[in-house]
Amino acid sequence: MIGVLKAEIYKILRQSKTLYALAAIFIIEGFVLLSAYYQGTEIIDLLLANLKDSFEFKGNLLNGNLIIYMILNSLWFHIPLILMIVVSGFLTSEYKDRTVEAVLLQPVNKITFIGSKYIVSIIFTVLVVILLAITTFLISYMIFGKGDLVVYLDGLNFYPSNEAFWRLCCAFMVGTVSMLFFSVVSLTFAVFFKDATKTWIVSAIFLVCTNLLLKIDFNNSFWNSFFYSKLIDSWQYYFYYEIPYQTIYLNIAVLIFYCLIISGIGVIVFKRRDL
Amino acid sequence: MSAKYFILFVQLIALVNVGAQEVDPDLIHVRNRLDSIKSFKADIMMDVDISFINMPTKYGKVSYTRGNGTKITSNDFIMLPKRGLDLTMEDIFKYPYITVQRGVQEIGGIRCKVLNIIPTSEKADFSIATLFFR
Repeated sequence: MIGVLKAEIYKILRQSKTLYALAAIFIIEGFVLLSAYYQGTEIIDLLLANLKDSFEFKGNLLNGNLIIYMILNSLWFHIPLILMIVVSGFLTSEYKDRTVEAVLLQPVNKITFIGSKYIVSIIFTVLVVILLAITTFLISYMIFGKGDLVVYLDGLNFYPSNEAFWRLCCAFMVGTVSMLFFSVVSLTFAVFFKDATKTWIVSAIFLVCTNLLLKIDFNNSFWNSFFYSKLIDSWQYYFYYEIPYQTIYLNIAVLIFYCLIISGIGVIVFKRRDL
Repeated sequence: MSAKYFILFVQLIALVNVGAQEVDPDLIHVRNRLDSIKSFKADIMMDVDISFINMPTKYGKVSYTRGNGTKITSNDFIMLPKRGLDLTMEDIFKYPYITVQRGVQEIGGIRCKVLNIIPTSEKADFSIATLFFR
């Protein structure tokens, strides 16, 4: 297993698509930073429009913490999309190049092979989010400095700089679990569809549908609490003034459970399927 | 004739009552004390009490110099009402006013005498002020 894992990690490091994924993340960061630099004041004005007539504001709200929060919001769509494309490519490219057969002609168990794909996907996803977080914090603080964070979520919430920092860190950590879910799902799609284009299309549709389903109220507390689409925004809960820790922990546990189930399905299907 | 005397009597009673309204001695004391203050600086704690805004307690400094009004500074991000904070204590007594006794009220376990100041001039920047005297 360790040998197969090392081989998978080597493959990822050698693949150009890994670099493309990292480049895409930096490009997204760059766009957010640029738009914040040029339009940040307008965003804040929009947030505080109703209060400007009655209140005078002293201090700078266009700071690193707000920029980090803006980049963190790429966890809704941009980052999962990139992850789903790249992670599904870990397997679809092997189908395309027919290297799956070459590998399985060796004394490598099917479960070990696909299991190592899932493990490497998880490692890759975690590293991507860590890299995103580190670069975001460094660049944002370097360019925009520190300051209070303002978030419009169930009212206007203001957080002092230190508090904003740990809320953002926690949000990145919880967001990693959501990203893991998308990665695992895309790899399972790759198991089912084999073809890269089909997998990407299905993954993109899945992502769009997830975002749409997130907004839908099922009028049922069970579905509203445990349906997968209702769990992927748990990182956002760190920006409520009173953090619902129990809900966050429960959501993380359920989402990890879903990841295990989905990867289990992928492993079973891959094992049973003829190459 | 009797009606004419009655009206005169009522007017006299009214005049006597107006003459009898005296400025509260505590208020005179406060006013004199305020008049003696040329400037001050103080550390302040600010809380926002608006239902849809959640903001932790902020800290800052307030400085006052007679003639220049009050200035509030803070290292934190703060929200200050555009109107209201520019009102200084000396503004309370700037224009003619009437006072209304509101009895005694307990605040933080301390019995305070409560007094309303209501300006009679339209130029005043406030409509009513409530003073609490220990």
